[in-house]
Amino acid sequence: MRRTWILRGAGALLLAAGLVAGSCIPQDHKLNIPYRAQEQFNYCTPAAVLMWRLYDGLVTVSQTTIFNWMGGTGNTNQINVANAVNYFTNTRDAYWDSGSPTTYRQMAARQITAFDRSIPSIVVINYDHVVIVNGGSWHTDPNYRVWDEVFAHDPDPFWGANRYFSAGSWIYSFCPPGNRYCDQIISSGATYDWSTNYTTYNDTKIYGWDHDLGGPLPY
Amino acid sequence: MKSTLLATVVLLWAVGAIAQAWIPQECAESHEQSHREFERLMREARPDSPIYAPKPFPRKEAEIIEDFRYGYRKITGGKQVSVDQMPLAQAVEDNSLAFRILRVENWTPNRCRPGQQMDFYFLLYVTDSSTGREVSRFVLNQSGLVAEWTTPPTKEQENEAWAPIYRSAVVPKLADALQVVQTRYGITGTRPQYVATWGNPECATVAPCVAFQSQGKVFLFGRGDLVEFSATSRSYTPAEMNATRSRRFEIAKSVNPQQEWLVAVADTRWVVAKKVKPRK
Repeated sequence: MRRTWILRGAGALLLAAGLVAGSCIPQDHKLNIPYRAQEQFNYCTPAAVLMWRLYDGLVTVSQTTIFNWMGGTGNTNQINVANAVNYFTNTRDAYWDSGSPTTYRQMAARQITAFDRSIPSIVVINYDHVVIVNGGSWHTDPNYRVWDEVFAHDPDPFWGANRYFSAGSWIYSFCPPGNRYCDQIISSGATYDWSTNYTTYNDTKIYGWDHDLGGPLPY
Repeated sequence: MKSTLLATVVLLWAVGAIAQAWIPQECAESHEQSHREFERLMREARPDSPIYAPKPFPRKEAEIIEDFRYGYRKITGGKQVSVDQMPLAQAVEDNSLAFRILRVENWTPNRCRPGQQMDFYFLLYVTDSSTGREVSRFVLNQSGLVAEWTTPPTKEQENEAWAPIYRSAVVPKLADALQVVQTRYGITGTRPQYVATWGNPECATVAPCVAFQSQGKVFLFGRGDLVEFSATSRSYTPAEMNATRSRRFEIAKSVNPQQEWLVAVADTRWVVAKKVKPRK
């Protein structure tokens, strides 16, 4: 598994090198996480943890095994999800990243930082559903990155393996204004310097809404 | 590039039907001023603006298609798209597109946000007319800006367990849905419309439920189930849902998945809808 990490690290370095070099071409980065649909109506989290595990190169386990390990109920709490990631995958530093609509940019920056390092994150969307982030694409405008879309594997087979959000829609799914809580499970090691991306990330430039400003951005 | 755009559009709503769109309870707070301001900015936006769409707040099928083409190309243009998106990108590039377009009412709490008005979405089933194959289920916001989309299973994904479930999740025509309900449950519905909302399970924008009314009750038909609720059904306020995470878990756990759905109705309440048993 260490080899996987090194390869991922090398990929991230190459990616970073491209960005540092001021590459202005649009970027499109997909992690190619193996997809698994949830096997029961309340197995979205076990399915997401399983996908992370398979991405880490480990052998499959049943979704029921993960479900039971998390307490045997749906609607598990976020700490259990983080613990399950740390138990069932090769990631050992996953944590529950808790935010709110006033900190959504920081949260998104941590997601992006994880993308850049080819590490998944599990994000709670639409109140009580989860997806695993499989990548994203962006362009430069002109000196900083603007996210165009987010790729996700949605355990719900009605959405399936190939779900794409426009960047604006993504924010409305995981951390809309008015939500009291916004939650995700991410790796601390993969996001330790997320604040560098924070200064360069401006999702709302895409669709013109800024929670912090409380209104449409002027153009 | 082919010179002609083959756009076979099945427009399943008419002006009258739009006027009949309904929701059990409207948003608690009006954001009309904010919505108007966003619309003004959008109508004044130029192509380099992030909120530009060639036909803001489209009404006609040709306007919706124009916004779809523009929005998709804006997001993916110049990029190497992934394998699953290639048929969609190719069909857009070749102008070999056919559409089935549905209006989907938005009952999620996002209906009630300031900024971009989101009373409904446009769901586009996009087919490559040269092959007859579906290449995407694509969702535009009411404003004409891109919301989200899916692509069908690739050849490599075709044998995976989710592929047939995804393929079968195509919503029926409204009249057909009412007919199925009449046959299976003996219920005669009126005012059918497509609805997306959050809950467990959710009525997804790409696979919306059919909502209708009958005898003072609201029904949702989707995912093979029929559920009903009324003004007196057990429900929870958004304040309760948002109070603490542990309270939200308690509420979610209190719902019996064998018999009930938890359904969001705008930002006014989360209602426990009961499954209707098919008649024998």
